[in-house]
Amino acid sequence: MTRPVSTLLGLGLALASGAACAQTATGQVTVTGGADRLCAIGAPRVQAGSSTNLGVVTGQTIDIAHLADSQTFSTRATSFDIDFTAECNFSHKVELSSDRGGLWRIATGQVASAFAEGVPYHAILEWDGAQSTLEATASSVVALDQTLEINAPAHGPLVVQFRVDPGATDKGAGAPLAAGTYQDTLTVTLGPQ
Amino acid sequence: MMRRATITVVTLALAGAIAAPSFADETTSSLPLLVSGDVASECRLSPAAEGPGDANVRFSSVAGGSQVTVAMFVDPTTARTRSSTGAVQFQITCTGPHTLKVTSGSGGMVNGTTSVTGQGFTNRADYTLAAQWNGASRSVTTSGAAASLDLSQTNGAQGALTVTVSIPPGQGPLVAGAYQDTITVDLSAN
Repeated sequence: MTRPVSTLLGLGLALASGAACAQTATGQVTVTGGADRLCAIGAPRVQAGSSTNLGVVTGQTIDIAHLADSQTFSTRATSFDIDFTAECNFSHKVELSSDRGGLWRIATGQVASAFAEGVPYHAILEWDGAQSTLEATASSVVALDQTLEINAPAHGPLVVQFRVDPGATDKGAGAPLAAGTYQDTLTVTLGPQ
Repeated sequence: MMRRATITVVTLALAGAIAAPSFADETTSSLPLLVSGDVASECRLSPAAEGPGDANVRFSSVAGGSQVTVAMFVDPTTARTRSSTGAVQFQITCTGPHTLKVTSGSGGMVNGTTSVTGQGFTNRADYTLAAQWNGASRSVTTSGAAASLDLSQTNGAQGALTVTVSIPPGQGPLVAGAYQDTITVDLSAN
């Protein structure tokens, strides 16, 4: 954007100079400019005040404080909302994707069949008045995504509501979780339709 | 000056033509978030419940644990032990690697009130202590010293720990009195 605009300003000065030297001369100038298509997402901000069981947030890494309940050894309820400042200056889509389709244990050693190794969750995407829910059911380790088509430019807060239900596991409600680290990567993408 | 102006306009048109392709550049913006949670290695041990055993053995819960009572410990005509078997079960859940030990404190059923074992009598009856947990079986026959069974596991497990006491017949003759041993189950997450 910057370069074409500066070129046009320089041209305007040259024309003004030329007109001052003529009695009846006229000139026509067509001024044009272009705005590139742009989508941008700002840094995530976790709304700690409305959260449940939220641990440490470091940049783009969000830790759940206690994934398992210390009495039942099954999943503890977790919820938090993540805000992003976002904008797209053309009709666009926003996609929320999951790399693994659930919070899955990073495999270390064997686990008895009674234990769960996956934790389902759902992530609700809100953008420009529209809403879509990504259901990560932890039925298998598989990538998932949800898309919202927005037929206009948009600007404002993009919100992802992350929710884990108590007792939710890949082995059914209330199954104990095997010890270990559980992870998934959620990706928010703004871009052309 | 007109020419000059015209030339300038042509230059302007060229400038516009050069800038035009940038309109087609569509920008995608993407941001990954890593969501992570840990499950600690923890264990839970339920109170003991009665396991399989013969009719000569009774199970009861007492303060701080449970008690297995052998009703007819010795044959009344020989003062020698009768065959008796009793078991208790503990429900265990460990989410990760754990240490599990079952220990006989006295190394046998001991009459602690007397050390008089003359005339061929004894104040200790040995037994076989056995335990099964998560597919592993261990056993030891007591011999007067504390004895321990190690059923530790390198992974998580859930199920019943069965501890069995089997008293073989014919030991003795035993000095009159009460005989007992304390069996302790120690469970800890690693």
